[in-house]
Amino acid sequence: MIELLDLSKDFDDVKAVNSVSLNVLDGEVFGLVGTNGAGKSTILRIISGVIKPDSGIVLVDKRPVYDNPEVKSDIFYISDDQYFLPAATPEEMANYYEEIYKNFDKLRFHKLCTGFGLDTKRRISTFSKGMKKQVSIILGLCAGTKYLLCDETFDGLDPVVRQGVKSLFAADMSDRGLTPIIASHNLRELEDICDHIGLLHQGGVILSEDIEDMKLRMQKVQCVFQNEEDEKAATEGLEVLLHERRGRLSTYTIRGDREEVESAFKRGNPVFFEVLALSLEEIFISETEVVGYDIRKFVLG
Amino acid sequence: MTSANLSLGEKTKNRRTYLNRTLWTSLVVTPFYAAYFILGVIMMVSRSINYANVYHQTAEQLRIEKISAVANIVGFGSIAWILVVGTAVMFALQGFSYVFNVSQMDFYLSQPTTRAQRIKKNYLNAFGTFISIYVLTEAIALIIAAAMGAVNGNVLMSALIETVRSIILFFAFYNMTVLAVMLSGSLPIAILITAGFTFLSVIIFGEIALFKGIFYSTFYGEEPFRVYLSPIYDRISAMSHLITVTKDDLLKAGYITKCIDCIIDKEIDILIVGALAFVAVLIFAKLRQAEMAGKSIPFRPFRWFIKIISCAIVGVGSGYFVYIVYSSVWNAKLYVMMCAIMVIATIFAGCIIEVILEGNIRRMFKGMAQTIMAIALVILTFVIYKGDLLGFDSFVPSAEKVESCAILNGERTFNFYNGFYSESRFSSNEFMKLTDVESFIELAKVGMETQKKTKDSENRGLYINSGYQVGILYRMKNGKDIYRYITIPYDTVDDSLDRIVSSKEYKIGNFEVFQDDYIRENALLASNSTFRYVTPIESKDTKNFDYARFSDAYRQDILDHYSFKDMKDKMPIGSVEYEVNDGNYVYGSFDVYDTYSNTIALLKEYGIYSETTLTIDDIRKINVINYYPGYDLEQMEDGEYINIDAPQNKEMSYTDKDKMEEILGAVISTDFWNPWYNYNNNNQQYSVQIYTNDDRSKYDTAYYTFLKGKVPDFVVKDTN
Repeated sequence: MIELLDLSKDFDDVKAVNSVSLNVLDGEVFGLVGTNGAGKSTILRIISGVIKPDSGIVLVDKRPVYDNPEVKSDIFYISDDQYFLPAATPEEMANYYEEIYKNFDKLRFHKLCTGFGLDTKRRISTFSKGMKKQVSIILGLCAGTKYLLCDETFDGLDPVVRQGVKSLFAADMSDRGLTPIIASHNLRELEDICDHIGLLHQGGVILSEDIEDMKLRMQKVQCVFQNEEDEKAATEGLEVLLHERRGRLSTYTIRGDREEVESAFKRGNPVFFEVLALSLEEIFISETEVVGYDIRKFVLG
Repeated sequence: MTSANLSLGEKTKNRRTYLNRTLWTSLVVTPFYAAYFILGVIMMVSRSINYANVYHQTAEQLRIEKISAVANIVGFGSIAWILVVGTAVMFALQGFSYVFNVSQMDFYLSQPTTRAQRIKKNYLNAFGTFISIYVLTEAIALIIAAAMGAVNGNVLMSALIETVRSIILFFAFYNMTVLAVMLSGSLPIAILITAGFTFLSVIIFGEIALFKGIFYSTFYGEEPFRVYLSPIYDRISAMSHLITVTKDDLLKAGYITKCIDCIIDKEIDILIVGALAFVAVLIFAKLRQAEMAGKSIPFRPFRWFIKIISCAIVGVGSGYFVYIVYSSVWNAKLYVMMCAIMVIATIFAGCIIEVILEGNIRRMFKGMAQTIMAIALVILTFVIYKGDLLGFDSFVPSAEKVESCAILNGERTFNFYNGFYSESRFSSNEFMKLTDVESFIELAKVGMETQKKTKDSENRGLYINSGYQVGILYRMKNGKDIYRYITIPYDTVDDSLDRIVSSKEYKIGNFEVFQDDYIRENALLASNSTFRYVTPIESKDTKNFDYARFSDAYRQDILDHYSFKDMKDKMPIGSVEYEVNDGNYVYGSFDVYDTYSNTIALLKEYGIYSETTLTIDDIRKINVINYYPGYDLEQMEDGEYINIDAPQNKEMSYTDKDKMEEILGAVISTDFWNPWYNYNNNNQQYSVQIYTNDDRSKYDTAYYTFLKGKVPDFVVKDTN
């Protein structure tokens, strides 16, 4: 488990991380979302021991991470702009990491490279951006660390590869308890892989919740009523977060579980009533607009 | 398979690949080391063999030449230190430049290691690689040299010591460069700071010496220039000291000790620099944070230091520039302009430095606080020197703190050229050890006061000859050497001066003939040597002489007859010249006074002595030239000037015996130099040219000068 408690980091006059407290549970996929400059990379760099926070505590399995090789051997950090040794090939990078991470699986590395169609003898500098990302991810997975920190890692991957990577993550989570932490500025990228999302804005955490909990606690309803009185009776007592009307068709985003919402709407005898699936994007728009943030720039990001 | 079951071979292969990828400069420098050591030895030794064949050198001489050639490549004469410096800088920049790049920082620092381990690994990689390259190529070179018969124990030992010296130098430059990297945020700035560290102390010590020369009346210009905490200066300085060790010494037992004596203090200095830089690296590596990558100089206090010190150096340097431009017309008023230009230059430097550090020309006026501090430092420096706040010109040590003293003599009796370079084996700094400190200090006190007045007059445009201008040296009991330049006033402290000049300590330290063992050794082998006696009116020479006998006689004359009181009113009557011109070239010149009975007796024995006293019967004509007709220099006050537009040079010839006899009684020969003669006694307005009879002299004429107050009236009348 990774615990961040009241973490702060300033770069000169800029507050990159401002009193962030988050918990990353073992075995879940944690998504860090935020605009550019929100502090995602800084948090990942703090967790991986690259940066020392100005204040606050970072514990990885109850152990401080900064300058602690024992803890860092459980973490593999894939940065946004991953560095490879000059003129190195994937094979040489694997050899390099093999010396550093005692659980590095060279055989798997070769299998994965073959699977992804990567030539292990070719210089990485000649690879495309997406291929470099693939090499980074494969190296990270084969390092055999408990935690895999990915900074904008899916950016630049084509949908097929992205799906393949997600499958690999799932397999490693199941097989050896991998805990990936994925930072991205794009919610849509994380929706189908993350269990838990932390939303960052201007260095602070706006919210941090399990996606399923969020989905269960929020409903999106499309409905048509005979008249306004019926509609008013149906929504009375519900926590309506958003309401849109097109002609007679109303769309509500309501906080509450499904049964509670359904029973409330039945009171108004709707002509038409349907509970729709909420996207992560919609959940965040709803949640953050309530607290006054313009979330659209995140999801459109 | 995981890394837990990697074989040693695989680990070694991985490590080699890592080194090749992260320290590829080692692949670049290796051919240079191989070329220098291996090719260097082969070429230099084969050159010696060819030279010996062409010039028919003996087997023993060839052996010396070969050993010397190898010693110049791998031993103390090596210039591989240039490669070592380059290697150290390249390795350090390459090994630590990851701190300038965020993705590299992420890559390295996220790995399971500590910062200290990472630094240690880089150090071990760099030192291991450097030592491997150096030792391997040097060892191959020595094996080849041994096969060519060009190695002896001294060469091997000097190669070993030189290797240690190279490692020390590498240590210093590597640490200096790593420190520069730790203190900066980008590669160009790190390179600039490395250059700054390399030359900072040289520049500071240089400017201090230059300012002493400008502002201090008693500064001795030939005072040895010593720079501390500068490895580059130490290395170059050590090279110049090692020149005194000859190749013949390579075959002698004391060679290594002699060389170590020349270099040990410099090596300690280099080691101190390396150690200080290393400690600073440890401190700043701990303080440095990952997010500092990309900033020009991330540590604010260091940025301030850089700017203040750079501006101050430029400001002070500009002061010297002003002095150079106006040196020939310098006067006290120019100090004001000098100070103003120093301030302006400091401000200008502040702007330029900001532009460089910020990379933005619009930020040139940023950081005015540091510029103001630099201006304050420059003005303080100016005030300290101008006002002599450190008391340089008034400092006279107390006698009990002085070990010994010396009056410095820059003149040389011998020139010795051994075919490759001039050898310099004498220095009064080294050999004169006056222990009559009380008399010396009495002399020095008066001399300093007079020198201050003399310099003051010079600053006002008045050049007055008020005494004997000499450099002096106090050797303090604490090991420090203090130099001053003084003017010992004429006829004021003659007793003290006589005590000193008459002492054996003075004579042995002042006259090079007492340290002429190498000349004597050379004389035994010399195949073409000449011994000549020169007077103002003729010279005679011989090839049948014994230099050692002459040296003994001359030494004895100095010990018996040389004293200040005896010398102050007379000039040498002649000069002995000794010359060897075979494989070596030797030239020696020895002044002879009328009291030097042993020397004169020997010259008579060799048949080359000639009397210098002229009688009226020896003379056929005397010409007198008055350089300043219409003036009487003897009567002119200080500060009174001669109109240069006035008619110049009036010459008169005299053949009348009475007049010639009167002139002859009023002149003195100034063909030779006597440091203790009061040249104020001579009249500089006239030149006297005496034409001798053919049977009296080989020379047609001899030049003399009137003594003050003795210019005959008829001469004054005839030439004005």
